[in-house]
Amino acid sequence: MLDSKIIRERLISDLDCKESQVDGIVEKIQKLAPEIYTAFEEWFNTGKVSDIAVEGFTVESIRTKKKQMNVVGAFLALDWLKREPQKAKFALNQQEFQNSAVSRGVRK
Amino acid sequence: MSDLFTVQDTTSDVITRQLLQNLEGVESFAYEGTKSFTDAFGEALNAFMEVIKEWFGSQPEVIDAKEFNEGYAEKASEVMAEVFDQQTLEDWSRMTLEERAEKLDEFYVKMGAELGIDAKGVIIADLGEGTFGMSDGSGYIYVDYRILQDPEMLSEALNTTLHEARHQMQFDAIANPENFPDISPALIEAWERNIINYNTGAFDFEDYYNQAVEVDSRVFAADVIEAYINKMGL
Repeated sequence: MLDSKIIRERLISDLDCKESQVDGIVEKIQKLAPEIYTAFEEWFNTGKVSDIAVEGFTVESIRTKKKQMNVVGAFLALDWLKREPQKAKFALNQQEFQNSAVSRGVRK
Repeated sequence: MSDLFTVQDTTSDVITRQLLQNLEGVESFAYEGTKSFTDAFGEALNAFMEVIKEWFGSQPEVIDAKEFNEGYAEKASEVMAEVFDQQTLEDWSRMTLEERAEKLDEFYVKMGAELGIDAKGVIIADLGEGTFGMSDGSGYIYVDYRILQDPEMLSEALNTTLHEARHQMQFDAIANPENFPDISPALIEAWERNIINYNTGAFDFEDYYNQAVEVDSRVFAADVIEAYINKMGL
């Protein structure tokens, strides 16, 4: 299994993951379904993205649909598809709405 | 999306026209289906409601969001029926992009006045393929030009406008909760916490999709569309 600290550092340094979110994401990564974890590990160690498919979705197809999603997000999305296929497929097939609220902050 | 203007300095009408001018070669498409456009539109809305109701059934936490929506959704659907009346639906497929943008802007601003939100206007922009809308709490909402180009995407245009309008309401309720006595302080606080820790979905789409402000906007839009369908007899 990959070292959580190493995953954490890489998410922050290479993918600009926020400190407030990174630990939750690492936890989800460590709980990925075994076959998805294996594919994730391969990508993490070699950069190669396998064509593992869940409910007809691959990492590549997910990222084509959801352009804001990075490769880690795509692996987590595959796991969601495995755990809750109907909900995840519905969500992934919907078009995106952005909410750029954070960039402006909250007025008080 | 190019940041051509400072939105505080000009009206959404000017912004929309100028952005449309900068969308080179962008024209509206005409409807080319075999059934009437109104019939096709009605079918699209009902199909949307079938799918969203299936999603509702699997989301127990959605019920809490629905409790606060009744009055707001009713007012919003009244405005929607007024602006997107039978004549507008019949004319929609023949309208230019600019005319469609003006209709959407009219709907958002009038709805905002009814709901007590700071609805300054709709800005039509190139948000990138696959992204329909955006809000930033400024009072303006952004809608991708592609869903106005294709008349058969009117249902998406309305859903997007409602969704983003609800985000604007969330902002306004956080800033001035006394203006929204029907919305519980606990819910407003949940929105505020969520916006401060907003998840864009880059890493965790499941979390993005299920976060409070997104669920709330989705529920609100569906409630309004359902009421509109009933009002219009679609």
